[in-house]
Amino acid sequence: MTGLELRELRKTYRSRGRPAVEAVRGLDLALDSGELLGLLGPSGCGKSTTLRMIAGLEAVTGGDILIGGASVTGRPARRRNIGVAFENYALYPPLTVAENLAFGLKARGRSARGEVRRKVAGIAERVGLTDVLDARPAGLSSGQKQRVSLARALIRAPDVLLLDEPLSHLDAAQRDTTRRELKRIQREMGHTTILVTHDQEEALSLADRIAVMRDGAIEQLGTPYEIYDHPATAFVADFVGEPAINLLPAVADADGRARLSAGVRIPLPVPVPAGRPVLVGIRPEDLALTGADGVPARVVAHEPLLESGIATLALDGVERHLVVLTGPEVRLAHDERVRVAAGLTHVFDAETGDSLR
Amino acid sequence: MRKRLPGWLADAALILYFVFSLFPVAWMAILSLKPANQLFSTYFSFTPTLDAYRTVLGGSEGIPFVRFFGNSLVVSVGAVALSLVVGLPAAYASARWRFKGSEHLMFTLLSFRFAPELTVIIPLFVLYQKLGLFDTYTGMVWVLQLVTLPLVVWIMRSYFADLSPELEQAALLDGYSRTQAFFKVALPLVKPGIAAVSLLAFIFAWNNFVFPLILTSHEAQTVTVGALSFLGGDRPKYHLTAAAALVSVVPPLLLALTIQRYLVRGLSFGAVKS
Repeated sequence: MTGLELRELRKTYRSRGRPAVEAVRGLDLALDSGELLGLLGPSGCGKSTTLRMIAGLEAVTGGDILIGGASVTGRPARRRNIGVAFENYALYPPLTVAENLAFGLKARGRSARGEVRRKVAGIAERVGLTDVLDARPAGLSSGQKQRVSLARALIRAPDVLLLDEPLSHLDAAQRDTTRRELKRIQREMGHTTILVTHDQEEALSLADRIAVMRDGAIEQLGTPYEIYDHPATAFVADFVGEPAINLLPAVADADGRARLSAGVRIPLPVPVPAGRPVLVGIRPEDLALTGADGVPARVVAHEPLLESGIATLALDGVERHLVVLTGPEVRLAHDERVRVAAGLTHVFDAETGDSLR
Repeated sequence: MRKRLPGWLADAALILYFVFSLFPVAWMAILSLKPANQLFSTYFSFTPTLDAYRTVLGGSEGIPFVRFFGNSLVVSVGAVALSLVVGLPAAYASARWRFKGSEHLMFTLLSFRFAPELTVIIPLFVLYQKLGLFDTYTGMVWVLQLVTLPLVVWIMRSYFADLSPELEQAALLDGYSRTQAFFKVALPLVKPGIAAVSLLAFIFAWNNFVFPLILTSHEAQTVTVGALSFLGGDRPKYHLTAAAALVSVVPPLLLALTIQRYLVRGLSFGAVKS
């Protein structure tokens, strides 16, 4: 197996009469052999463009792509040995599943017929498609289609595997099983893999490391825990986590607390110079409703889930509401006190969004 | 809600329309079966005869109708074939890539369809005389590209645009070249479109009148012009023209009937997103 490296990768779209669009601005990334990296970001952040450049479907404006240490930037897609599972599966409708799988093998020609049949059977067994080998794509569920698409990418034994939003068209039940399958297959076969997604849950559950992208650049690179527990910027904190983190504008006080309003102060995890405008970030699960101590708050809404609930609280004089993960039952419009778990608060510069921790 | 017509009324309306639209054809058929001396009678008692067909197909009036018919076949098939060879890659390219001036090029092609042929016929006539293309198959096939090429390019462009580019990209990643991706992936998926557009282009080419009228004389003349030669001379022979016209609708009709299945599917393709 082989590693993948991106050096200063750039993509600029120029069209006459319009300002140039920098879709990807100087991306540096290195994947170890067998690593699964999640490229996570909102639509338009450049993650799909990056994937297409690695695959060779999009010309590179600047920088270098290396597979196993050798530059492939100048090579056409067909000579990069990269497998892609496309978002819309890209299965060939007139062919059966088996023929679809064999189609990719036949491109390079000179595979003996027995060899092709053996490989098709092998990969079908791996991804659990043996029963539907003679079916046509139209007759498959979307979970099966995605597995055919994956098998098609894997059958050529590619050096690098690219997954483009692999779960986005599946319904909730299929998404869970397919996600588990995907993880198992990737672990077993050990391909260096990039997963492009806008779904933070998908990235958190599948990836060894996550690169959060924004406006064509990597905002933070780290393990899922690093991304979640130590977000480098307010953007990362906001994008990762469900329900989303509470980000409240405040001003640092001299006593090491943040003043949200005249009556509401929250202790800060790190010393911040007094008078500096900040964004205080608190994850909903790091807050707890208590009868006794903490900040006074009033419940304005509550969504009960099965074992928990999500409460929306109004704080005295604070414009933004606070979202708290609670038990399944909370009394509405009742005055509560909300306590912040010590040391789990995040604080960001109000201007730049950079973490001050 | 819209009220639907009662069944019998709808049927009656359809029958009426059927009679209305087939009337000219029926009238021509009757005309072609009349003997020459009863041509101008308006009552329907006459002795039907196939003399007109015999005359037309036998060429006894000094008009080689069978050759005109063959000419029509050659130039129409040739024009459609050339348009497919040139137009399919062009349609594919224009559907997949925006290149400098691509929209202007496409519009220019389209303009051939709505610019009246008569505006260019005189310069074309002069050019053809000078280039030695006048009254040749090559010349006819070439000039008919003005009719068939825009059809092929514009209709096939929408077929290619409806195909997901990911299919070809997957093939590229598998190791196929661009050309192979076009031939092995894109082209087989637009077969119904090719069938439909070929038929359409064939009919337009077959029916064309102005180009063969001006740009051919005897060697490469087609049926549309040839059928009219029976009207010349001292006495117009309407029954012969009618017979010639009826014979000349046979190829497009047969073609339409044989590929009807593709035609319906082909022309409704793209209108309904799957």
